Amino acid sequence: MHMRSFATTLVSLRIAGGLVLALLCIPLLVPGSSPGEDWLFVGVQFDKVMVIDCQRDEVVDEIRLRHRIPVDMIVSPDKKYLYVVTHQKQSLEVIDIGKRRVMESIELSDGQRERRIFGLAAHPDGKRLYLHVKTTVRLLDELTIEPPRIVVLDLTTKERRTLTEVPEGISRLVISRDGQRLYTLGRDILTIDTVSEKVIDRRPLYTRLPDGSKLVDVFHIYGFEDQSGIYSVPYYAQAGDQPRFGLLLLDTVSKRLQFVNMGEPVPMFSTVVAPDHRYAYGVLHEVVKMDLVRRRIVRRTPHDRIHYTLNISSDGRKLYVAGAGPEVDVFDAQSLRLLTSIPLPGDVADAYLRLITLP
Amino acid sequence: MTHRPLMTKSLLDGLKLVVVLLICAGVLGLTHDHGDQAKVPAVLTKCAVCHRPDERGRLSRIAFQRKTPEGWQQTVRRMIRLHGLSISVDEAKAVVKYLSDHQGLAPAEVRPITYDLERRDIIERIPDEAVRLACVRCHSFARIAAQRRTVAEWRKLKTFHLAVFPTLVYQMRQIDWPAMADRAIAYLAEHYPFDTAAWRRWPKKAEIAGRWMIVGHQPGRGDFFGDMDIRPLGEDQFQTHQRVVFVDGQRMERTGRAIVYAGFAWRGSSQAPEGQKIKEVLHLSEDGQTFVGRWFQAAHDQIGADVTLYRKTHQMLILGLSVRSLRAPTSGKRVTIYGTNFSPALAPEDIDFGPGIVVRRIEHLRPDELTVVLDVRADAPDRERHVRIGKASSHARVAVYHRIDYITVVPPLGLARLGGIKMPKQHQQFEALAFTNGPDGLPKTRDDVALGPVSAKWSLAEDTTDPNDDDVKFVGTIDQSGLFTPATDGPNPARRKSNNNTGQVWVVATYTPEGARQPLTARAKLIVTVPRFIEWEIR
Repeated sequence: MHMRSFATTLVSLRIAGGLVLALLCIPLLVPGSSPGEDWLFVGVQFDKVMVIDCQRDEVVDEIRLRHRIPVDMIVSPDKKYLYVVTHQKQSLEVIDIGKRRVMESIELSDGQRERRIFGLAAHPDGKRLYLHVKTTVRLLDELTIEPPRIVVLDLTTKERRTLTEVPEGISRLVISRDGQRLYTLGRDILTIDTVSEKVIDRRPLYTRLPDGSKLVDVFHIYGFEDQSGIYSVPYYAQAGDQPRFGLLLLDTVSKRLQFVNMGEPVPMFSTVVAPDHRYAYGVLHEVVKMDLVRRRIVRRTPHDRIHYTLNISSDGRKLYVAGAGPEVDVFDAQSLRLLTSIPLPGDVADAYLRLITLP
Repeated sequence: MTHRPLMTKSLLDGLKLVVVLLICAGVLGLTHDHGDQAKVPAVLTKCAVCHRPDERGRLSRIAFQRKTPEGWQQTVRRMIRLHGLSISVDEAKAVVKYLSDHQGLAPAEVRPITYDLERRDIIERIPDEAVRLACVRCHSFARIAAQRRTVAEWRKLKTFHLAVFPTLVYQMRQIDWPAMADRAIAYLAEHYPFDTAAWRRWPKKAEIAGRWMIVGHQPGRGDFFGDMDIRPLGEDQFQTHQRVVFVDGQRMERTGRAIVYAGFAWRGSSQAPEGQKIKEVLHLSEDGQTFVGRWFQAAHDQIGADVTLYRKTHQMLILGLSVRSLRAPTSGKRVTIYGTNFSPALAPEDIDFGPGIVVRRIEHLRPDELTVVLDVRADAPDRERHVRIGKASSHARVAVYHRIDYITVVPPLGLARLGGIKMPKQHQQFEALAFTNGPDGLPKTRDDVALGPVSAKWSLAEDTTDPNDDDVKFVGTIDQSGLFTPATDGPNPARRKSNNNTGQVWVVATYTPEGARQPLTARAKLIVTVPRFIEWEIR
């Protein structure tokens, strides 16, 4: 009896051990999550990233940062890490999404040099980040600058090296899905071959568009290609005395750049393209739905709050809208009806909403 | 002989050592330090910690710029804020005084931008498009034109801006800001150079103490006259005592203090026993005989008065009248003439109001004020004329009219800022001015005759820019002196989208002239906007 019991216990322990081992082997990216689920990460003032479960549209956790004011945020290709820019853009904090905590903070400034990140992108190989870095040099009696540059950060060694100097004015970096092309968005769009590390194209933006209108403003400060693979931002142009507005679309899969005229201007801070690539959405004073095929606005909903940016769920059914206030408003993407408002403990620090669909 | 090579080697080694030490010392700036430091004025010792002197004792950066007192004060503030400068208030004042005296602006250089120093909100004329695009979208043009720099120092402004405000290229993304800044700097270096004849020739000293006669106008309240005693209190520092009388009979006395920078830039403050603290920004003319500027409330600089001071001499001087205009025909009208050194022997025939006006008698006569009773004949021509007493200098003018044809509101575009909770309110004072059409009989032509301010009734009206416009309910109120007081700052839950109380409205003046059946109206646009969250000495 004793012997049998011991053997049974031993087998049970082995089975339990195996199960534990098996469970440990499952990539538990977000605790309590399942593959295919959407999770939203929002930086809020002054030093937090809020975790929102998009299945319930509720805040389920908060991650405390090491520095104040998260102002930019991207996700690693394997969706295990968040890279958050803080400390007046001088620090890059690495968040382990599974553990929901900051693993390390990479400080860019040293001595006389204050280095600030104005745009970043993660290479799909998961080994490197591209940073657009602007440097202020504090001399004894003078503040001066060094030319802005694209810096490659080796995520293993944490070593940084300059890839190329770039003109002033770049605000965003976008990388193609295959990792071969890095695009810098400023007054020009530079295309950098990530293999040869050469600038292979320079396209002036503030010039005439294919339809003859003259581009007067491109608001490429915010923009997310998380779900659709298409980076989109609003542009404003002038055709004679006719103001025009449209979307600049950069397809990170096909590497195609497009200007889609939408007609009469509607003030927008940012836009996002739906996963089906048929529709795009914009926000500022109202939430706007645009048909990219018929090239026109199909629905507009005034909203009581001003919002700077938005992201879309992986099934294209829900819009997450935030910025300029302590909440994320959730809209039905079809009707533009407000579904719910998710309260946050502080104002959204900058308008970066990162939406992750778990692999 | 055998030792000579050794001696030579030792000597050479010694010399080498000395040379190396001298080079090192030179590189580190040690050889110059003691000598040049001695040339640095003691008042600038704290500046010299970072701004090293050259062989002529000129401090880096500082010695190659010239600014107004406000400009230098702004610089000291920036050094405290951005660079951790530790300096007492008295030390900072001494630095500002020294630099304003030695590296200031000449009267001719300041004159075009006094409006900013005097805190007047005006629409500026920008002489260069690149300067407008690169600079004036954030700063007033006056802030730029109130500086003189070497070419190298103008160039450093560009990198300074990119270093301190790295986001400015995004805010200015519609232009190629670095390229536009280069164009702007080329213009500024040419038109606002460090070295000018005006500054070199300006003596930077003037005799200021004594008695000065005051002529002023406070919009919403009227003209005033008086005098100010200025007594020396120390080097370029003065104590003041002002006495003024408004044309409505109200009298006011204030005492104060002032500092004069570079021999002509008066910066004072004064206060009546229970009154508001008043700031005084005045500039002395090159001939040293006239101060021109503005007095304004320290707490609300939009409320103030245009002021001119004339140096008092033994000569008779006519400053102004109790009226700006006289209707024809009029009989038995009392008019007070303000001035100084009026002779007790003056007779009505000594006083000349021009054609068509007869002074019947002098009713009241004092050395600084006389009241006459006069008639304006029906055939008196509609025009403005000088009022003269013998050969005395006169600043007094009066217009004659038969009918007020129209009124206007000044300023035609007003700007007020919400406040009262986080930030002070910024008011806007309006004034209604009357005109007669002049000889051509047409309104708003060059021959129209300005008749001065009139006591209008004031109201606000919606400037409808969208169908749901409701700004007039929220922006604030206007009183019957034409002073607009904005509403409080911050979100208003009673407004759509919890908007601030900002808005755009019309300010309407209504005035019925004496004898007229129909009232005259005029209006001005008023923009009520958010508070000025960052306040500078020069905007």
